[in-house]
Amino acid sequence: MKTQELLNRLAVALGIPEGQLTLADSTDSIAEWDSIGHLNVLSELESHFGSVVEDNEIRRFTTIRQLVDGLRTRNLLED
Amino acid sequence: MPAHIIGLQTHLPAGVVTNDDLGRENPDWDMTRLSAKTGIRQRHVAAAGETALDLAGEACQKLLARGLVDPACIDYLIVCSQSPDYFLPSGACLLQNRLKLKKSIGAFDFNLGCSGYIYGLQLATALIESGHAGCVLLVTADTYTRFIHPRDRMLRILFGDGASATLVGASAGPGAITAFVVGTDGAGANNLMVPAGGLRLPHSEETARETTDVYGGTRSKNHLFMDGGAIFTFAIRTVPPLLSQILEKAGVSKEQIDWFVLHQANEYMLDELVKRASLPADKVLRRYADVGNTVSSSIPMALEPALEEGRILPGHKLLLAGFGVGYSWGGCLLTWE
Repeated sequence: MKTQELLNRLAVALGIPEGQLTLADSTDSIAEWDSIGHLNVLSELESHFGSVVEDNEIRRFTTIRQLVDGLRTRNLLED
Repeated sequence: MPAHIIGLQTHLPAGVVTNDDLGRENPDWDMTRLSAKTGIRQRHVAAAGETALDLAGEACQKLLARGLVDPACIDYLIVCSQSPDYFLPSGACLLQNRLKLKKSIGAFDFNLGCSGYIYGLQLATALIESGHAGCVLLVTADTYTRFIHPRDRMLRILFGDGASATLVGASAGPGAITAFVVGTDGAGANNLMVPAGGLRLPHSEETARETTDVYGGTRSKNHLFMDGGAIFTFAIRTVPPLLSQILEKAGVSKEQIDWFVLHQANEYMLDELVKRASLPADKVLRRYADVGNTVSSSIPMALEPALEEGRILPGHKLLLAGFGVGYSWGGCLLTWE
């Protein structure tokens, strides 16, 4: 999976239009990333990457870029 | 001789808090979104002074009034609760006296949450199949709403109070409760707990200090805390393999199961588990819309209306599974008699 596809999938999971989620977004600036949105993100990541990212790690990320970098360090993204 | 369920009965407190009630009380809560995601539209809440043991007593009295067994035949009374009247004595001892059950009865409590009904069934089955008891009264009862801060949005939506009573006896027919699989991972204990109020951390000014999390939920250490993400992750990683293990142990296929009866956490959780375990959605019992998550009583809460409506029939195979606080989980195969 490439970064843009991940961003699109996360956007869908959060219920926001594809293309509107960017690396620069901070998680607390995304209104849809509430307690339920967080579960949607967890579900999406678990579905595609399995049990490699833990909930408490995701909660430490303050930006989408940090999340993407966290996946890249595990070689889970193709770019 | 195999064990089977002779009958079961639930009891809900009269008080009801609807989502509209919560919305009026908390105008900043988006109840429409939360209602849609959780599938819960109301929950029953115990009145001031009404305890889990009171709810348990009502469930037991209603069950015994059905005359399914002579109460003198009940050899064990097992109570599962995390909302006890007292540190001591056991609620089971108080309930024995309230129900006027015989004194030559074994009675004890055990402390589990959403897996509690499964563990209770396993204990009851073991007592019966070992010949130590002819009939066991298994009780589950909780009033989690007592632990929830009024401004903890997610927990107030999710949880409701309730109790159940189940008579488990030796089966003369084909009914049986088998293929138990249980598990525990105490590493997850901190993710669903009431931190203060026990002997480890007694109530104090410090534990009463309120904090608000990033999602706007407010609580102190005297209140119930749930890390929703951690619990969700635990459930989606644990329950699908649990179901497979039960099927394997029972030697039956998923297609041979008539009803899947999972802990009724909420719609979001059940939908995820149905999807991840590839369960046939029309064979999954659901009961949370009118009662919320009733913790240890959620499985009998789902069973009762299905029995009353004739959806569960003699010979049906039911796969039961509970999971939650602890972490603790368990499941079994139940053949209805």
